[in-house]
Amino acid sequence: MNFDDTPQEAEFRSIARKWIAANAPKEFEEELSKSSLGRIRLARHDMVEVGKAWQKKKAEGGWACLHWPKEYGGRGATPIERVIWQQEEGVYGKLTQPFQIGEGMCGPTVMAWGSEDAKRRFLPKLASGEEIWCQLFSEPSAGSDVAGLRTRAEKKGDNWVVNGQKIWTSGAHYSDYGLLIARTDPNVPKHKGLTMFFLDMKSPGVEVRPIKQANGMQEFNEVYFTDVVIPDSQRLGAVGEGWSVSLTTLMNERMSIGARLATGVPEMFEFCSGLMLEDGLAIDDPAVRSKLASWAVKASGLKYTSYRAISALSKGERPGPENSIGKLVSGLMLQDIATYAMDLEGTAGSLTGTDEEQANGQFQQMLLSSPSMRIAGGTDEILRNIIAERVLGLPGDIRVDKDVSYNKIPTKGR
Amino acid sequence: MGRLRRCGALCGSATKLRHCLRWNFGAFRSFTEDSLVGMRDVPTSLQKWLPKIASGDAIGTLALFEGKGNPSPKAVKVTANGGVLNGVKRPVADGAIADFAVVAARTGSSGRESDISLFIVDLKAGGVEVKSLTNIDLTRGQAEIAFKDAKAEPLGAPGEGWSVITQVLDRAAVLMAFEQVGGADRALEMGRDYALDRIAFGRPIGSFQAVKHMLADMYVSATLARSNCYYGAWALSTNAGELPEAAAAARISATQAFQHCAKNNIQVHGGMGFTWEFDCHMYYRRANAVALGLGSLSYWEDALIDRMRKKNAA
Ligand SMILES: Cc1cc2nc3c(=O)[nH]c(=O)nc-3n(C[C@H](O)[C@H](O)[C@H](O)COP(=O)(O)OP(=O)(O)OC[C@H]3O[C@@H](n4cnc5c(N)ncnc54)[C@H](O)[C@@H]3O)c2cc1C
Repeated sequence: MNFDDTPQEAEFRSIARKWIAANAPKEFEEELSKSSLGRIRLARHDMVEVGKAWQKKKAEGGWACLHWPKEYGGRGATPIERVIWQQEEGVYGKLTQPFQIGEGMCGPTVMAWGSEDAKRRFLPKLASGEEIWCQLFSEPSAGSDVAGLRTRAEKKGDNWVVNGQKIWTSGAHYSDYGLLIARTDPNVPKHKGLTMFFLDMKSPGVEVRPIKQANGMQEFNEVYFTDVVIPDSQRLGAVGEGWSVSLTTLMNERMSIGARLATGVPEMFEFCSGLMLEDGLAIDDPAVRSKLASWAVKASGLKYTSYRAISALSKGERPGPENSIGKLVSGLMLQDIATYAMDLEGTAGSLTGTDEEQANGQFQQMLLSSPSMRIAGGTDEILRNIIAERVLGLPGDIRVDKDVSYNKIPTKGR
Repeated sequence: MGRLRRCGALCGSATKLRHCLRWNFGAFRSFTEDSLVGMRDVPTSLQKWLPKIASGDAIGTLALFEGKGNPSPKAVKVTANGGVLNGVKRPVADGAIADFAVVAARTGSSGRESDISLFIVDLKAGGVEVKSLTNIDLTRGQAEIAFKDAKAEPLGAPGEGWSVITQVLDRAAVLMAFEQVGGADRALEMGRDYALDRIAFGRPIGSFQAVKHMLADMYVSATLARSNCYYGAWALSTNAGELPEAAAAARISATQAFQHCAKNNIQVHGGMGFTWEFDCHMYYRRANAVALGLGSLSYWEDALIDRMRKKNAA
């Protein structure tokens, strides 16, 4: 493996750098650089609006979803060029948060399973941020066990009629389209009766209700469906094939989460370099050094693991289950780093008011947000199962619901 | 052999402990040789050893440590005066089977790094007393070497010893890290195989989540270490300016991974893992001995932070 840019890569990097220097919204640079975890809030501006403006500019300059084919709004760039772009985009990359689910999951699913018409109609607008997409998978009774979902879609003529409820849908409140997995046949085992659709979030019968999160923010929602009509042309994959389609989405989810993963390490390093303890700078303390070093090698290990994945990708290999490790390692690490940073601040570490904030309160925010990293997009336990079963070849869990038709599976409510 | 190929070979041979005379000497010889071959002008003192190293007729070692503690110029007490060495080095890896040693000795007393110079000593010559020491790793010997007016030829310029040692340790760290990753991988593989084979409560133990998750975590640490090592190998093979930081990261990550995998491999094996008969303890022993071989984890953690700081300041 080579870690230096080739001449072509160096040239690509310099073009990207120049374009960013000339076009990025510099007025937000400071604020963005102080917010960690990718869960950002701008003091005086709407994040989504600022993000849309940046995404639109990028699309016009040919820098949005740059690894996608040109006809679908991309640039036809290589996986390595995409990484170079992300490195150069730096803190402005945080503005892409509202588009990540669309770009990272919904888009690739439409690309793999949609009709040519659908791809040409929807992908360019998804890429340019003009239309935002959300992922309607999880339900109150189906999270890790998402194949156990209950939302029903029934065929009526050329249309499908949907009834049910989704939950934890990030960004549903500002999304234009949603990728929806629903049950089309309850009489077969649970994985076999599912079908994938996409729908206009403004369709009659769709109701989005925000849920306030543990960190005080409001980014995910409940979404209710009451007799919502979806044309059959918005089905992705065959009827009953929804589970296979969802695997495309989830595989890409792991890849896209991996690509821009926050680890907390650069923030922690800077914090310890500046924090004065009783006996001197925190970074000179052997105990602090030891923890920092362990986190630093995890972060670098993750970085080079993702380079290895990208280099496999550029050789045409598909992202595999081994990419699960990114989120598994960084989620817990963020939580540990936040706890330790606050510990170093002593009793005052618990304070979050603007007068009290050290390091801009970023570790307090990290502490409160990091639990979600260990849950969203596959919990730590599910990821370990995936590694154990699909990478190491260990037996699957014993399943009591495997060959039972869906409507005979015991549940709490039945 | 190119350095990259050597990394691969070390990693590979470490996965097969049973055939491993080569593994015994692999990393240690590699790094001694690497340091010697890496020198700008081959000193005359070295010329007679190089062909013998290449043909396998001579084994070299590095005599650096003098009792407890991590690599530091202050800890070097062996003196060099008028072409002879006096003092005691311990532990010296492979010391009892080595034909010659590169010895770090004190040639000044200013309290600076420039007090340290390197020498080559023929261990079969007079004034050298070698004694085997017992250590936790039964497959790699350690020795004490006492010098009493032992004849020594200078290696490299006087006063440059410590800067060479630092570079040698960095290079060695990358090579050793590959050995450690190979060991971690093998421990993981042994644990996985056993988990598939062993039945308890009517099912393979590998179907219990507690066991699956333990193995998944071993995979994670071995993977992170391997990725850090690749970066280290790149830095080593291109002589990149990033080598010091990359070497420390590879070393820390590989040390942790091997220790983690070796200890949990025993856990997965249950009582069988605690028998002399099974190989688990060999990996456990090697993981913990090699973790100290080039200076302990805390030494490398310190080095990494210093180096990251230097980079951030630049
Ligand atoms: C911030 C956030 C954003 C999200 N955004 C979206 C979104 O946009 N779209 C969407 O569809 N979903 C979204 N989710 C939902 C997320 O995917 C689910 O929360 C997650 O899959 C876990 O499901 P659950 O909440 O039902 O927990 P459960 O599945 O009930 O899990 C509870 C606990 O049981 C453990 N557990 C469950 N099954 C197993 C098993 N087989 N083995 C071992 N342990 C097990 C879990 O690890 C966990 O610790 C989001 C969640 C969060 C927190």
